[in-house]
Amino acid sequence: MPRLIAKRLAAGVLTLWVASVLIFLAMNVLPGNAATAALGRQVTPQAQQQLSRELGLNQPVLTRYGHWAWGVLQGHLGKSVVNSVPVTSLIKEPLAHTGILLLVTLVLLVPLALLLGIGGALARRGGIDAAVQAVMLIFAAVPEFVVGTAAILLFSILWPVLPSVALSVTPGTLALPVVTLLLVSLGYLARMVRAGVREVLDSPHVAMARLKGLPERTIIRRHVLPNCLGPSAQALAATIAWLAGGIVIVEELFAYPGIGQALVDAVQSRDAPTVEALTLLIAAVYIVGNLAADIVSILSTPRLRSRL
Amino acid sequence: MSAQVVDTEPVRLGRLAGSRRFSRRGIVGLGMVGVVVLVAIIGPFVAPDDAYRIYGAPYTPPSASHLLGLDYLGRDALSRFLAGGRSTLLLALAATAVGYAIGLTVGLLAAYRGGFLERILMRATDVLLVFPGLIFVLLLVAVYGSNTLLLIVGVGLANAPRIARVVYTAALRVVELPYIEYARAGGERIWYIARKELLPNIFSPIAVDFGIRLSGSILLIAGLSFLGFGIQPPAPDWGLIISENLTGFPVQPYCMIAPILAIAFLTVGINLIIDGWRGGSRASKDRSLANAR
Repeated sequence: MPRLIAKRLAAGVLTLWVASVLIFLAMNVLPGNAATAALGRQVTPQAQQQLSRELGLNQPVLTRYGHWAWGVLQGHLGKSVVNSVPVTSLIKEPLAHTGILLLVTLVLLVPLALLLGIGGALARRGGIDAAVQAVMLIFAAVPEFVVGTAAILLFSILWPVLPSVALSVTPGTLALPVVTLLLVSLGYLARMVRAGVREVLDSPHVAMARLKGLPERTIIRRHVLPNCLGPSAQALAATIAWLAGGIVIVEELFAYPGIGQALVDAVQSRDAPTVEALTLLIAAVYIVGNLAADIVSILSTPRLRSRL
Repeated sequence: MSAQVVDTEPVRLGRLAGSRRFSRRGIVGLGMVGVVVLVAIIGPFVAPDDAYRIYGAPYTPPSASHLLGLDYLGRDALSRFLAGGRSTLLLALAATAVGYAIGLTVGLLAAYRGGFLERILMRATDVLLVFPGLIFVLLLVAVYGSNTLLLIVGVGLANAPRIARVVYTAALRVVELPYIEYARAGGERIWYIARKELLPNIFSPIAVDFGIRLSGSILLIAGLSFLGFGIQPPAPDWGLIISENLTGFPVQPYCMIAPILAIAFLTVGINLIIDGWRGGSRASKDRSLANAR
């Protein structure tokens, strides 16, 4: 088992490295160098050359990648092209804000999704199950900004109890962004959890337990639920990746000062170092999330545990 | 990933059509998508007013001459809605097509050829998967700036690794079956085998995935328009109409209600069709959602 985990870990690190190369190449090799992009319409050959020299753009790409990667490893993400502030200090606060938003969402999302997913799989097919499925399908299928707008309409205009603009981070301003993220991701996660539980319910060892005449409660507690842990962890990792896109849009909609907004601003101003740092960060979150899910799967599956 | 995504019986493509293939839920979905597609196609011809002309004050409420009122610049909301469906649908279709051209090729090639090529292609797919769809397109926008071609190619490329995974997983179970071995032993070309033997037999997971990819592309493009990186004003486009009128929401919500309903009908309808389609396994439907966005 340790070997299997080490293998996954190595694969994760390798993936992150390749992703970093891709991000760097995309931002640096493709036409339109960062200096031209940063200068925008006022670009002159002299200004471009000067900025290129300042940014070290006249060195070969490999040298620049090495320089950048070495800096990233030491926690230096470069300087923003737009206002010459170190990217690290530029994204520190937004990062904390988005962390809070994501954390609060997950704390509410996970128990709700497990409840709906496991409950839905165990329940007999009926009217309530179908209704819950339909409502969750609608929320998962509608754009995030539409759900968010509807939430604003309900809670800040028709029944004004919550602020629609979250310029600071307080429980009140967090409420609507969290509700929006919950609504768009709940159906998705619950549905995947449900699929995983159903698969376990259909598996031979559960049929065997039934044939042995074990009470249904024992079957579910001893034979079904422990085996649902792995698939549910995988589903949660996928949901965090799915939330990354949702967070960008929700932060923009509610003017929430997180990394989603920082990313949109950086893309707008073509601030290459900031875009690189933020996309690398999001890729790293994805990789770590999947790694954690893999490890949970390995630990909760005796079959994988015994294999060397 | 151990889901049963493959039909055990060979399928013929011609049997897809016909209402016996869909449950009641699926027929409702077909109706919803049908209505929206119809609006998108004939909308521009029946629009009562010019979608670009300014008729009055911004956010004028609905009246007899402007049934949905005026938008944030004072343009006729109904006409803009009717004219705005085409770009949303065409872009999403084009992006999904680009995604399939790449994803299908990569997935089939990796499953069929195996060995070194398989490992390279699937590792590359895994690397691209670390970028959530929206983030991937934003990265491209940061480099190239926003334009229609980039939207199609970017959203297509964001879809491609997800499609490749689904196709690869499905094809992996088929390539080992005797009839493929038979075709291979008979000296058939890879292109022929892919088209005549592989594709028809992984049809149902791909059909399910296609629907999910299409609704995912619609959402992604609408989201990009909302962020200001999608279709550019003054063009009428459903996603853009919603985002540009967002500030006037409390005073004049009517100008954005039609596009919101249209996008919701489209994506919910596609999901209902998938759910209500009698072909395809339960697991493939649940699983393909796993990488929808």
